[in-house]
Amino acid sequence: MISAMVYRRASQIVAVLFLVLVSIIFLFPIYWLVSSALKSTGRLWAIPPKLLPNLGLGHVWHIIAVNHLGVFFWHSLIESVASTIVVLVLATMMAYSLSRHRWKHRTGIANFILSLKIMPPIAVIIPLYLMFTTIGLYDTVPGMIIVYTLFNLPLATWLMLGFMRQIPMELDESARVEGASDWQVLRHIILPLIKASLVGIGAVCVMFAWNDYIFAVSLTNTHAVTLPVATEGFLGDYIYQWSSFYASGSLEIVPMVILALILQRYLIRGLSMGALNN
Amino acid sequence: MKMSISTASTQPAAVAVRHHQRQYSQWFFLAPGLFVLLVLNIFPMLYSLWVSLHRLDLADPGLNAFVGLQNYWADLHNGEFLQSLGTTLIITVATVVVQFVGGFLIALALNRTDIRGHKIVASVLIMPLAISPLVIGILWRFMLNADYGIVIWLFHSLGIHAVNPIGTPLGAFLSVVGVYSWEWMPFVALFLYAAMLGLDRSPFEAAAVDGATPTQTVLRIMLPMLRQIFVILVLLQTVTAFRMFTIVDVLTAGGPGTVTQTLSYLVWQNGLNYFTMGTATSMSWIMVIIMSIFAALLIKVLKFEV
Repeated sequence: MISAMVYRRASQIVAVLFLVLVSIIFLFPIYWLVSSALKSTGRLWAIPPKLLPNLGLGHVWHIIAVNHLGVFFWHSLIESVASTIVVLVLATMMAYSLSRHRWKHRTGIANFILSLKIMPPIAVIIPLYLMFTTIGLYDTVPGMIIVYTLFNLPLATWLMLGFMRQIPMELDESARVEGASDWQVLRHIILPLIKASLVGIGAVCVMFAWNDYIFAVSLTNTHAVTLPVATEGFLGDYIYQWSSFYASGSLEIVPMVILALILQRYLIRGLSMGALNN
Repeated sequence: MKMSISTASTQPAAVAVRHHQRQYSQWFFLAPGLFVLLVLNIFPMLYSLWVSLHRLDLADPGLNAFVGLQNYWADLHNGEFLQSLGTTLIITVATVVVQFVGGFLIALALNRTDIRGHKIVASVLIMPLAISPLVIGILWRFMLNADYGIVIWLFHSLGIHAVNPIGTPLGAFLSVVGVYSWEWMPFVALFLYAAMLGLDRSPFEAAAVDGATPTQTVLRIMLPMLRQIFVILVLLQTVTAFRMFTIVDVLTAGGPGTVTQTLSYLVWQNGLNYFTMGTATSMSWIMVIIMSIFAALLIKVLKFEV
């Protein structure tokens, strides 16, 4: 009995130490990025490295203003939010049709939508580049909104389908007996029940679009450049602007980290539902 | 409109009419989204297929022509392509293994009822999920830099000097796998933790009564219960890792040489750097075919076992 207790105690201590180590490994790089944005150049290169920053937020604001980072921030914001709104509307309608109507090809169409997730982005980027340069959508904000819509729509539809399937069919059937139309069932019965899911799926979509690099670096150049591409731009082949990188990187990650912490519950649910319902 | 639930009977004729209307409304709700997917996803893919059958060199358009399957033939005899395919497969397998070993251990530790602070650790783990891979990649490039990186400084202060993660082939390979795993391991950990919380407790209680050791409980009871979730997650993480681009681009740029060049990176170089679109599209179609076969196999296995 005593050895069992000793074993339990020892494994508890090991587990706690392990989780502390894990927390440091995943937290420290983020701390290092944000704190480096608040360091003077000399302090950035100090050896041994200095953990604490020595400048205030004014330094970051200065870099943001000098480099016009506000423009890129705005591009990131409008492209991710606008595409997410379009995605949520389309995904809700498609999921409604695929989950509340019993019809012949619905499973086939649902699987087709999921299969689009398997395509590597690069496979669609090359033809989109050719098409966008031809029809004038290359390097435009509307073009990027379209791109992020197509990128997020399959996943969002699939997630939404999973949530809607959990709602009992009896709810809409009794409303239909009362003579409710499809729109009324969707608005008055389904939507109130999936509000939390909408928030979770919306957060996932905003994050994917906001954090995207491969689409943005391939399909923009000047007029629709987002924060990740701008951040990368501070590290050219010959000139490295470290302070600007740290400030720009922080400006990019801080809103998303805050969003993730606020919506933590929805986010985990949204991410896990997506994989579980197939 | 106001709706109340009642048992009022409806005339059969009215039901038939409404049923008839519903035949069309399913398409009405589906059409806008499906239209967007067809125009924006399927059409570009078909266009890409058409391009892949041509020599389409934007930088040197003089010889552009229909060439049939020649691009595919050339890809399969292209040493760089085959090397990238091998690199991608090795990196994918390595990172999926690291993600699952690490993620499962983290989830197990979080799942213990005799430890407090789960929520804090979960909040820490959600942060890497919210950060762009670009920033992650560049940040780690700095931290791993052989001259001034903080990780290297840490190694030096521990007395280990011969470390150059990004400059050597093995170091670059391990860096790509490590940084990519850093990005995705928290997702796997949180996912498995959520799945563990949802498990039925009674088999575990029975095992405790029978005096099973913790290791036996995990291997014999928990893992079989989680099998389906593991299969789904492995599929998801494999498909995601196979398309790896950003981390490679900013961490090693495929180097040193072409040691860490993944397929996405190679296609991107061919398409948007050299503008040889026929080669780029044919390579990307080979990627699509490989992933489709893999996904089909895994889904089949899943259906057989569930």
